Amino acid sequence: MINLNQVFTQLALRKIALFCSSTNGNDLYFLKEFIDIMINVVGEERLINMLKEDSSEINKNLGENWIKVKLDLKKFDKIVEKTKASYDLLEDKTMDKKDLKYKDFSEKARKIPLIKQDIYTLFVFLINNTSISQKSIPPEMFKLLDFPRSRAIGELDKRRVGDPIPERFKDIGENNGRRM
Amino acid sequence: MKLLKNVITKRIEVFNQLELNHKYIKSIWHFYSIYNICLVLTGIYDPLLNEKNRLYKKLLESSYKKLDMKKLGEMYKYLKNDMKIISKAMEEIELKEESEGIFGDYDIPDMVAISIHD
Repeated sequence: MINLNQVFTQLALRKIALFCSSTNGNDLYFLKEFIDIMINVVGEERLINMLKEDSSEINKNLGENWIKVKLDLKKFDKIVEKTKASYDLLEDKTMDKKDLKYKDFSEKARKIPLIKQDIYTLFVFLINNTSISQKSIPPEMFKLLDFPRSRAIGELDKRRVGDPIPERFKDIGENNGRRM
Repeated sequence: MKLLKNVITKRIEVFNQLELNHKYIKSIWHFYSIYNICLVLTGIYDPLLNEKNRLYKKLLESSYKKLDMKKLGEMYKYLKNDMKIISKAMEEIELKEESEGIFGDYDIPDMVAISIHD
């Protein structure tokens, strides 16, 4: 097992936390960033040797075909960069279907899942073989997902001083909040 | 294993949250992200993965105008079956954690060891 420096551990944990709490497209981006950091920290040569010596056949294959895996990672990087913003545009219905962007996205998005399996294998292998596997992610590292429809019930009124009083608050405003 | 368990549980939590907020496209994506990790952990090969990917893409495209409920139903059929693999992976993680014993979980941040002889 490889012992990681405290700084890199924190950095890697943050990337994993963002991967956990991001939605489609963006999560893959953080996953790729985590893998990049770990490859640099562990060292490419060392990682290839570790993969080759592993008992699992899938990991051995990854080690033996590392050049292909590296090319796939580069390809994956390009695709994720181009598609990550498009998922949200598509769901928010702000991207025009006749737009060139949509065609580009449609072509690129098709390629993502085919490469994905190797990426996840590498992700699990890198976690299991470093000291990071025994750590837990602090809750404050997770990104908060906000849903526009599910707001807290007692939400504060965000009016500034001098703003007109809305209809529903008018009777309270006139009597200074006191009931007559 | 502790971190992987943390990752899976957090992603399941987000999946549930998205599902409750009717964000089906995002929730399915999250689910299959967990599923892919669990496939690696259990070493199971899924021959239907490409078919699921294709179905997901069609669903994503349909969401542009009106979500195709028929395709969503098909996706959920797969999802129900795939849930078994996630629970199997979680069981395996727990078994490994038990075999690691106290040393596996004995990680207290900023812990200072004091010798009794001092």
